[in-house]
Amino acid sequence: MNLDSVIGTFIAESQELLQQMEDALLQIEHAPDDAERINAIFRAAHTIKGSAGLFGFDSIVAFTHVAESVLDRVRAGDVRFNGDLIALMLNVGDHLAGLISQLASGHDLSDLPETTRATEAALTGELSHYLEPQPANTTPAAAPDTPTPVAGAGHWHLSLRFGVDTLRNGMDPLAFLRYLGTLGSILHVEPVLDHLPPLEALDPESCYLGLEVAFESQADQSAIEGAFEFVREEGSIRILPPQAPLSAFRELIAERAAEGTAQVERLVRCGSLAADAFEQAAQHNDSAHETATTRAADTPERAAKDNSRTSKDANLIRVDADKLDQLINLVGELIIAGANTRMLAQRSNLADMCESAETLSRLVEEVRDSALTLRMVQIGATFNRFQRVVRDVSREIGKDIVLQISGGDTELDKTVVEKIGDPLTHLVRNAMDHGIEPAEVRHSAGKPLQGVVRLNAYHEAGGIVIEVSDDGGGLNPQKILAKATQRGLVSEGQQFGDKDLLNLIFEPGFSTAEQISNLSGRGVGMDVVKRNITALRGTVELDSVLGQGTCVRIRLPLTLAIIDGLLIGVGQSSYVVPLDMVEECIELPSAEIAGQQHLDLRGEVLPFIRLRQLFDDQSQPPRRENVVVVRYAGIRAGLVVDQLLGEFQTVIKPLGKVFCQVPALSGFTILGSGAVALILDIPGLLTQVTQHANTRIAGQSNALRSTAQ
Amino acid sequence: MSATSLADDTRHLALDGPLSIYTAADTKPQLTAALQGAIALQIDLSQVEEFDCAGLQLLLATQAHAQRMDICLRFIGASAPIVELLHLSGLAGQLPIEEACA
Repeated sequence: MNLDSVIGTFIAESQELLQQMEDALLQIEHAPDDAERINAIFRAAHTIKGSAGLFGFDSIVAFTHVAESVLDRVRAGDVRFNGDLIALMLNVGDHLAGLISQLASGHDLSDLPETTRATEAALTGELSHYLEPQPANTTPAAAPDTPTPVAGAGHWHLSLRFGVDTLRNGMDPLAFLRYLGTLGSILHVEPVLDHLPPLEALDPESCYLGLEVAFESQADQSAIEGAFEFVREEGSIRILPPQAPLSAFRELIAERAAEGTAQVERLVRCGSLAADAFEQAAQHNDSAHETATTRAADTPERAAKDNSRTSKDANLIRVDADKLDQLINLVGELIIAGANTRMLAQRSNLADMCESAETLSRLVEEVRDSALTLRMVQIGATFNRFQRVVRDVSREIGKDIVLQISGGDTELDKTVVEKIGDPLTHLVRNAMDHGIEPAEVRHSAGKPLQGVVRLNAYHEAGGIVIEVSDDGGGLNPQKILAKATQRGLVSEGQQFGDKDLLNLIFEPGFSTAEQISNLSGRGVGMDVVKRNITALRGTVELDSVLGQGTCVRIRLPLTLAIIDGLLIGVGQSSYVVPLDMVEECIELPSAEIAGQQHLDLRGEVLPFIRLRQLFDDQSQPPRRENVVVVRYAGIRAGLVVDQLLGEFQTVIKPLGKVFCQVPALSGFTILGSGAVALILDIPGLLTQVTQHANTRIAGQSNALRSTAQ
Repeated sequence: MSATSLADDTRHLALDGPLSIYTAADTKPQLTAALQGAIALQIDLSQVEEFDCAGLQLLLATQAHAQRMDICLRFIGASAPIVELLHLSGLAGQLPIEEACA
């Protein structure tokens, strides 16, 4: 077994659990008595502790144990969740996440930075406050002044019943005994054979054995409990510390009531329970029966609940992302091969063949669609992370802000989801910091004091739209214009629609905040957001109504692997332009502009690039050339090509390292004929155009005049 | 593993290799078959190389069955893993194993 990969699973699982814990904590803020959520939080802590113990990450176990004890008290109703405890638990989660990421980065837990240790000590200190008023049941040995009669002997007593599937799960009750031997010394073992069925009814792979163990050890309760971490859920593990009160034994006997007096005798034989206490204990056997029945009554319910949880989990499969990528890659090949077959079929003029090829390509399309949905994840998980951001930031800046989430079940490509997190954080922080006004301003504007930030997502025409909106002060277009003029982003007297003005804030070096806070407002924000989103082939735009709020709308393609392209031809070669960047196609107006770099498009200057020159194609240009007008990020340019070959569904394949320095290409694809078509990097080409324009700025007015003629 | 009948009506069953969760499902039918209609049964454990809780349960259930059916059951030839486990589980007294006869 490869330990690294197992630890990898542990890290992934723990991170997931911590996320669940955080979600539950945030929700519990609104419903502090929700037993299900409390249980979810407890389970998360418990599982992390258990798995960490398995790998011997003792510091995690020790720390989590304290948190778990507090959570256990919450579960028992001794402590109630309030703002402080939730804040504390969130910090506990953060600290654990820190430890886990320390592991993930391959560091050892023993060389933690000093600050981390200090945090841990502080957290443990705070946590222990919640354990103080009444010592937690995990440390009963520390409660010698309780008046309950002491019945136990000077050693631990372990009463172990194992789940039926213990053996099948790869564990052996007797191995636990061996392990206990390393923690201390086993004084006496009483095997419990009461549950062993007759041979004919015996399932050889089920576990029927139970054990009563008298055990002497200096180890603390958590260490002993830790040994049984993975059988505790299924079986029934009772650990009585030395000098346990009689009530503890009574409870134990009550729980094993089905085993009758045999169990009491075993306790006595173990020396854990004094013989005279036997009588006393036996007297309580009647009441024990009652307790046993009530317990039995609530167990199936719990079991049913647990079951529903497991069956839900069972519907999901964890798959290596690489495997999915490989599948998508193969599907891409399939599309190419399918296109080839289709083309050959059409050429062959065989009706049957064509029909079969059509069916095939339809199926291939379906396969492609379902393969692509495999990579789709709901954006809800990403959205929910912002609950925490909003909560923390609103405390930090002293504004009362609530986050509303809708459309969390909208799905998009996993890669996109991963990359959208940063820009979204930026936008949400911006909305909170600059969008939502301070309480006084809101009050005088007659708005509710609590500000609202909304995250919304929905599908629209083959893409996904994510909206970040707030009900804050909105943006003032005139202020933006003034600022833009001051920064030299626009020239005086230029005319703008309101919308164009608003979108100026995505220009580099722009900030309208009069006051810079440590969150945002340094003017490096929005252009970075825009760049990140354009890198995902998305767009971003902004709507704002002064005094009513702002809405930033991000449009993203559903997937990054397959695009719709326009196939164009230059000489013998084919190229693909992403269709969503194509604005229109026109015929190149006669040869009189030969040698020019611009043309007149309905009165506007349109710079163009001759692909024939760009790629140094030596072939003779045809009599008529075409211009594909592309627009990206507000810049427009024309590409002069020989032929327009129509729309083409393009599987993007990355170019080899050798070509990564070529600015005009972003990838390639394979056509049905087997020929290679290069995918043009339009943003890259457009940057070239603007640079050219700048270097020739002196000659521009001449050029303009000649175009106009 | 083989079951043979000796002259004096005592059946003889020898178990070998692992007697554990991995083999328990296969071993149970052997034990049941050996017990079926037997008067006396001798189970040789000297060649058992691996022994765990599942094996232990099987032997205990076999013993209980033999008792109920009045079959004279003797376990002979304890191998080291068996001795260790019986000792560990406090069952050495309950599951007596005789010295292997030559």
